[in-house]
Amino acid sequence: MPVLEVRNLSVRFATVSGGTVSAVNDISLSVERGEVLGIVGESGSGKSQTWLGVMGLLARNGRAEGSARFDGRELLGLSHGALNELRGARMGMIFQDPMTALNPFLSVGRQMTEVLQRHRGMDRRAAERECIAALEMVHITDAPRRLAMHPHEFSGGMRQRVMIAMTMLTRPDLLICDEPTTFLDVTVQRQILALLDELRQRFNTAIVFITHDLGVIAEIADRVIVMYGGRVMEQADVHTLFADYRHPYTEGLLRSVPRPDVTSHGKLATIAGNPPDLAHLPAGCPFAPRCVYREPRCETQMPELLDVGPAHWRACHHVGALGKLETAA
Amino acid sequence: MNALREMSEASAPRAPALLEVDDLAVHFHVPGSGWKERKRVLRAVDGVSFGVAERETLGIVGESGCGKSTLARALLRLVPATSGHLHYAGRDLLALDAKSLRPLRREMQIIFQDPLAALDPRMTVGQIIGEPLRALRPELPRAERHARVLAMMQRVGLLPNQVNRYAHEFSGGQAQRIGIARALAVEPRLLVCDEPVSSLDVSIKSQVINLLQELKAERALTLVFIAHDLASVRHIAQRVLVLYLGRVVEIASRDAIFARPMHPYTRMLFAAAPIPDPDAARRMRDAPVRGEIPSPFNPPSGCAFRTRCAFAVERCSAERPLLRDLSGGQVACHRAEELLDQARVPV
Amino acid sequence: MSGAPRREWFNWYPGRSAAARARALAESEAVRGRSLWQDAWARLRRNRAAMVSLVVLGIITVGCIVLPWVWPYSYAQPDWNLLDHGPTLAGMHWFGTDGLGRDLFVRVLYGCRISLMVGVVATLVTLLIGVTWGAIAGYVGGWLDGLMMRTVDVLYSVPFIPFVIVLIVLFGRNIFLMFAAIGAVSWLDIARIVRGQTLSLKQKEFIEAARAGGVGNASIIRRHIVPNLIGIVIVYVTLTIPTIILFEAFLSFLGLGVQAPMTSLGGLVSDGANVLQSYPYQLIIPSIFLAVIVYCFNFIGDGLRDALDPKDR
Repeated sequence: MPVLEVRNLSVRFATVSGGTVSAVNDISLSVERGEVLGIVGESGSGKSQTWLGVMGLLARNGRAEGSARFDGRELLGLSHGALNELRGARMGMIFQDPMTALNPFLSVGRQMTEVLQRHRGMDRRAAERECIAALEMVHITDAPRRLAMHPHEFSGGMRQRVMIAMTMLTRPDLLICDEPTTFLDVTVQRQILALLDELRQRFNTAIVFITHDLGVIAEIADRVIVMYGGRVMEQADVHTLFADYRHPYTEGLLRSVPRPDVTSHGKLATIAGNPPDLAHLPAGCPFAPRCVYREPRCETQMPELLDVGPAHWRACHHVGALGKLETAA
Repeated sequence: MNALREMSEASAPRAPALLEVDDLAVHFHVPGSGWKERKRVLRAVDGVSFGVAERETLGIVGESGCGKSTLARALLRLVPATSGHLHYAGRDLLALDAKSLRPLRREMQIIFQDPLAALDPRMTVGQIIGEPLRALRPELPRAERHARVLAMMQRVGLLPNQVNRYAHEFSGGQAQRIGIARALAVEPRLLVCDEPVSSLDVSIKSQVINLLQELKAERALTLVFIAHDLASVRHIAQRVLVLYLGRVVEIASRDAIFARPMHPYTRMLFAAAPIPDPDAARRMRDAPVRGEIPSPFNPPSGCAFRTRCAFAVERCSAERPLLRDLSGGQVACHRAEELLDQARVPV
Repeated sequence: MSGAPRREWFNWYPGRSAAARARALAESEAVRGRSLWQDAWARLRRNRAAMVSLVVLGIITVGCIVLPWVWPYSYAQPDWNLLDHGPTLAGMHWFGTDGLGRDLFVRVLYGCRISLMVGVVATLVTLLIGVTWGAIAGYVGGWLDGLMMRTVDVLYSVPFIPFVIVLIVLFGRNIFLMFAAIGAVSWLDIARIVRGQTLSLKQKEFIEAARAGGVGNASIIRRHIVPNLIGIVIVYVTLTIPTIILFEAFLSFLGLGVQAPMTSLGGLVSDGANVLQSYPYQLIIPSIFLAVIVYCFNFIGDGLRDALDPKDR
């Protein structure tokens, strides 16, 4: 049974002027134990809002509809207290900027032991021992001394490690990582990715990894969901997606990024236009205005997510082959 | 054959550079944090030397905190240099006073990392793009200035009828186009790009890179392209300079440096770059990447990279390696020759 | 207006296929942008408390300027037959008369006039000194910043109320002196606020871009720093005016306000307080006006703060 099963999830925000903005439209997905599910998308794709909706962490004017079952238990509509309990103990979330989740006035040790005292009812001594073990687990050396330090005394990469250690204290079944390496240098990013992979193998934790960086996806994800304009465009396992993509948007993303391991010459392939404005989404496929394979019905009718191979889905009307995108020489 | 030509190119005296940087240093004095602490010196850029030839694209890469943004600003005298020399087309930039610097500002412009932060939210696009023209070409009549603004907008892919809109009405990619239009309106020869695509969406990055390349060809621009994203540097630059803690560790042609990086840091940096291809990415997974960049307030003695270097020996902590010519490029590492022989495999 | 063109650029891309369409669009009339001010105004209009306050304040302002001209009584003219007469519709003494038989309605109008004038003029003085001082200190920085801000610190430690009282005792009760005195002391806050804002603006990349574009320091302050300060300054102004009005009322209450027979709301409140037990309306009516004016300014200030807050966008 999957750890998390999301059915027909939509997230809408009420705007100041009285309208609504749909950030996520009718998304269904599942996350299995021990896998890394990569979520790729640009700004306005709804990649973060989906998960904030699932976790009950939307901004006050936001509302999630549909269903999200965690280990068989419905999350949407759960009381604040029950959600908090679940979030602390069985689901964890790591953010782009760890400083948003760490209290700058308390020592790291204090914040970590608090988690254990609250969720596992440990006494302080035992909690402290456990925290030292957790810091060592994320390869922070000199852990006992580090416990007394405050968040600002750590570098960005170290802070993210502390955040991971803190989240892993309760051995969650599901870890949601929202662009955890975007602010970090590539060298530190590599270390954090390796650490997450190690933890997954050790504890069989399901990891949802949200990012805009296809390189990171290629490195860490087992399965990938490509999002655009609040909808799923394509879903496949990572090898299939990179080798045998079937959606024009995926094609555009993969073809337009230069690679660090190959020298490209001339012009890069591009996706025309700009990311979608959620307040003015087109009636049909959100990607239609930028799509080179656009047909008349794309503008009026949202294509369904249909399978195009084993465990490979896409939402696109286009039937012919891809490869029309202007290519780099 | 190719390698031979490269060698001779590097060893022969190159054509007079458009921009010549010689032992440039930028130090900041930062107040101490505690009451006992004295002022601390931050050596953001420390003894950097390189040249940029006319119509060349020089890529500058390094981790955050390596001084690349400070270097970009120092090249345009937006931050004062502490010591060293900076020659633009043979003229000593650091010796000029504010007034005599002005005409040179027309020749060198900059675009920034965060395109929206680089646009005054209270101004219209027309005012923003027209501002350098107004300041640097005051002799131009208003109508002429307006016409140039519109032409520039059209060139970078903005609609001229957006001239009266405000910056906050644009997306990041469009804002970066406005930034490019502003920089190029005065027809500079040198354009410094400080991470111009790193805050843009994936699908917008390639649009902006293409635009920069087109404009470079059209206007015979010389580019200094700063980025932490190796892939875009590999695509756009002809030569690459690697910075670490305010110092140059390696300079070489794009083809040479990506085929066989000489400095251990360059290797580590390249090995860490995520590759958008699962098979290749998973092969790279085990490449050793160690530690984090140390505090620039007290860099390690000798070679600043030795604390993270797998090849460090005693000499590295005792003696700072100088930048020296090797194999067609320049590298600052005591063991560069050994490493070069050891690993001929491309990374 | 803003919806349609937005979708247009969405589709548009500078490729060959779109060139014809682009040309057509380019020749169409330039679209007017929505400045941050227009955005802020649109948000302010949705704030009911602020809009009601704006209307009420408008009515009071226009009323106290226009009505005294057409009113049958003047503020100084006593009517010995009608001393301490309660509010009545007969004989146009709507708010009654005071102990000297002067019409209270017209006196309240004059009181509002003086109070608003003191509030506005003193605030302008505050603004002029405070913004200049703060912007220069913040932009130039270094030792000049240190010197200017230490001066502010020193002035902060001057006991304000005794200082004003001494001034008035020395130079007599002169309304302009009062403006100057109040203004001279309350610019300190705004200087600090403006300096802080300038310091953070100075770090912004658009200032660096302007410098790279050859724009001189004076122009940068004028074209980039000051316009970006206006938002916070306006909020501060709408919150300073009522403080100054209250302070003037306090001085008048102590008998240090404007010279009789001219009066201010504070003066009227003070007069009314003396006869509180027998003629409570003489206290209550000016008090209501004072409270309403102060309330209105505070609501408008809060509304502006919300409207100008960019985080809300």
